[in-house]
Amino acid sequence: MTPDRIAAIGIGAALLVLLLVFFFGKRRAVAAGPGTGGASDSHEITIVVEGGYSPDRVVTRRGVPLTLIFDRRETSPCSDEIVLPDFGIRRSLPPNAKTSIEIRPERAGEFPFSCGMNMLHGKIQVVE
Amino acid sequence: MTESSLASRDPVCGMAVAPSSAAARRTFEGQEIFFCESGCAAAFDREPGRYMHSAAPASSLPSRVVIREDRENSPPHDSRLTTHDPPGVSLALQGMHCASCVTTIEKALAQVPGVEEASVNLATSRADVRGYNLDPARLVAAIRASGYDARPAAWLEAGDDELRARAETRDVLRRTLVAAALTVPVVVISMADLMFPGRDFVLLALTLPVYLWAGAPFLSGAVRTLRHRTANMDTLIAIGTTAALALSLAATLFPAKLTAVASGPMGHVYYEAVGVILTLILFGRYLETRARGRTSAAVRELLDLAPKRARLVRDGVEREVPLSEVAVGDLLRVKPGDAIPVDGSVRAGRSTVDESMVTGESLPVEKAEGDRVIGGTLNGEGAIDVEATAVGSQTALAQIARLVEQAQASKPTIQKLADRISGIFVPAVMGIAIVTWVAWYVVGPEPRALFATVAFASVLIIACPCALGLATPTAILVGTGRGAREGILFRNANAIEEARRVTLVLLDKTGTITEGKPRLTDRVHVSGVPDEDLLGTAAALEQGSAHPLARAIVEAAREKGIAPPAVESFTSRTGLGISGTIQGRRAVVGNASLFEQDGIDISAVHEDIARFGSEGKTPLLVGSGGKLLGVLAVADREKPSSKDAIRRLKERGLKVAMLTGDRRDTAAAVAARVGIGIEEVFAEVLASDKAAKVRKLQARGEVVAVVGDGVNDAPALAQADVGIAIGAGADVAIEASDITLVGGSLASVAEAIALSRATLGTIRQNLLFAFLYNALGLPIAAGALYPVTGWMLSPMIASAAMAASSVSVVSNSLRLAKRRLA
Repeated sequence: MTPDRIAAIGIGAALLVLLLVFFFGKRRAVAAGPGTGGASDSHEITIVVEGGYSPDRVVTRRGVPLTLIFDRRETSPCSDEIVLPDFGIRRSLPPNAKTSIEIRPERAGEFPFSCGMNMLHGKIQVVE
Repeated sequence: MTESSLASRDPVCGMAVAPSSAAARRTFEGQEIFFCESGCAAAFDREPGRYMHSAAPASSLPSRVVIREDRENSPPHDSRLTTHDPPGVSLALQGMHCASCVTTIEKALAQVPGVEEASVNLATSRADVRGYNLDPARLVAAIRASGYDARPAAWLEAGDDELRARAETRDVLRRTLVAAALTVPVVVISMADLMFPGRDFVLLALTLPVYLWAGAPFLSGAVRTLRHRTANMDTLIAIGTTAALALSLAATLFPAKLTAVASGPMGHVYYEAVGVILTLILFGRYLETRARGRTSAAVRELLDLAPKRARLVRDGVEREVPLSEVAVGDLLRVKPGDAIPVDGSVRAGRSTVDESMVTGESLPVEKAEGDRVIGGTLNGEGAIDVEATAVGSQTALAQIARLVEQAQASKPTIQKLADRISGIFVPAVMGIAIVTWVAWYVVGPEPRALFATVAFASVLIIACPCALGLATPTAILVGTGRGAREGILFRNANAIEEARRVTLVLLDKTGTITEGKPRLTDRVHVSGVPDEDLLGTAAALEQGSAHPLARAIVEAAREKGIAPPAVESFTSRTGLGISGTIQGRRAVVGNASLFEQDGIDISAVHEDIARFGSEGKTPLLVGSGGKLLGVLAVADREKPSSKDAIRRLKERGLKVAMLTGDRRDTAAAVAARVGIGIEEVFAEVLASDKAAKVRKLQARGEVVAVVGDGVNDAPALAQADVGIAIGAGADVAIEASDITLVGGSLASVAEAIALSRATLGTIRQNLLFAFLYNALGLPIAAGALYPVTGWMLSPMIASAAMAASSVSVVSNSLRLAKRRLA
């Protein structure tokens, strides 16, 4: 085996590890929400949709109506739709526009939201 | 508002709150304080001093004003998660700059009588107002008075979205065309092996704009997703094309070092691959965007049914107003051939209305005073005046759209596996690409670096997460949309899955198989007795009764234009009938026992009475002056469509049974007429026992669908594997049902089951295709066939396959919209 081949295997293995860490490693949570005593205490949360959701984690209180404003700043069809399965919402997000969706979580727990194809993810955490 | 003088003031938002209806209360410095909602209370808790010691309420909080005077009247929220009901009136605002504008406008709106809740959104420049008897003109006036401008907005601004979507499609098309125009010369030069000085640099110059401009959405998409540590199709395409471009660039800049490339099996540098890949994928995306727009078209079309304007009649004057200005209680004039603007009830006039677009029933329905009409349906040849009973988001059309949206957001269990795969799909493909590259580089034939990079790019390009991601949602979108067009509303994806498994359809009799409204079916006259006497006498006696049988007689007399004579000394004889005095003669209407008691001879009609009994009809004997006039038979008639619909259910291999509280002989007669076997009739079942009956059938291993009108059979609908509510009309939000049929025809039951089977079938085909495509495509692109056949997939072929695959999935789903169901 030539040195360049050994190097290729090494680089490949390193890339695979990097891939795992990069996509599946622990990520820092960005949380925001009303009624939680946090800094951004409002009834509206703007979520920027640009290759993903930021913040991708919204903490809110049970029973408080919450307006999620999805600010989609791209035309990539991957983020065409937003789905909040627990709230029965599937809405298309027009590109480069803001779409507001009002929800009223009536029970505590974690409720995921995702794009129409379930590839981009976010979560709404409802606390008592 | 009426309570404001008695109310205390919410210190946070400044609104009047009645102590009895306060959402929260606090005690501060010995003073009791009430809050309009928990948000205000929470704000107060953090900084009580701020609100208690300032003269005016803080203007920046909260972003929403809620006035509740009657909590019982506020929309119910059940224990599960619900979306907040859309507002009664939406206004598009102008002139807003900041959060304090929000507060100002909200307060102005809250002062308008009838407003229960007003919320202003700065981001969308919209005000959503909820309340009773809202007058948009007054709301607009209130906003103008506070220094802003507003106009009523359509409750769902579908038009805007559509324009944006169209602009997006046009953008993709423009990129496709530019990419194609630049790629054609590159392909010609490369394929024809034209050699001239600086050839590679010409190719580079032609390819770079394709990569950088036409492919910009992929590149920027990839960068954005990577920033979020996620990846999608853009990432794969961007890395794949970048690899191909890098390879070509290396060959152009360092021809000496990569001579093998020029003379290798691929023959030349890879500029044409970059161009062709991007052109094909852009073209595929263009087709897909267009096709996907069509998948959700059904609901948009449904909402578009309602006209934009209505003819409002006020104080006898008719004028045209925008639909958004119509309020509940308004009288609207609907001319022949016009669409009915909102849900309402006919106040004057007579017409036929084509409701097929909402109920799926092809025959026009007769409408007269008192009948309900559905907004969006088409008026026939008569002019009618309609009193609006529901507007905006409360109309049947809007509720249908909402139900359909809810169903479209839910996922069938079959999707769970696909979801798990798509969650890790892109990183996995990237992993496979890396392994492919290493494998080719380590054990592949020379030129190794070239082969490795080509295979690497092919793997990334051929992988199609979209096919996987679109398989289920597009089929659900098209399936539920198709259903909505035919008046079949699925509550969720689960209902579609369950409906497919149904083995036994249990039909409630009254209101489901039959019309649910008894009518006069037969008249037997004793010789010489005219119609006026027979029907007139009966109608006169039955006039005061609210019993359905009595109503049928009175209605029949009215239809025949017979005016019932006056009755004196009216006596109701429980369980027997009614007697009274008409024009000095004693008249009776009732059953045979009544006549026997009164000593009236009924031997002439014995046979008729027996015949009616066996036909499931109720005979009513009519007598006057001690003599029999004749017999009237009243029955709840079967719907004309029932027999055919039941035959079609049976043809699909479903067992059909009937459930009723009626007597066995009545039930058997109806069953025989509609083609249900006597052994499948469950008669004399009390309403409370219907659910138990369903459980018993389920215990036998049947998957039971119960079809009922949702009124007194809710427990049975809930117990059923699939509860189907029929004849919902404008009340589409029937809670207990899994499937709601807007129309009253049983034919929709067979269609609903057929549609669920077709939808599930499409999902299966799509998923199978997507799995197989990726499972076969990825190894081939990686070069798995090379050791056997010496064949290697070109990245260009990979891009064509990839573009075709997602378009195929969407097109396959779109077939559902056209497919024959019956």
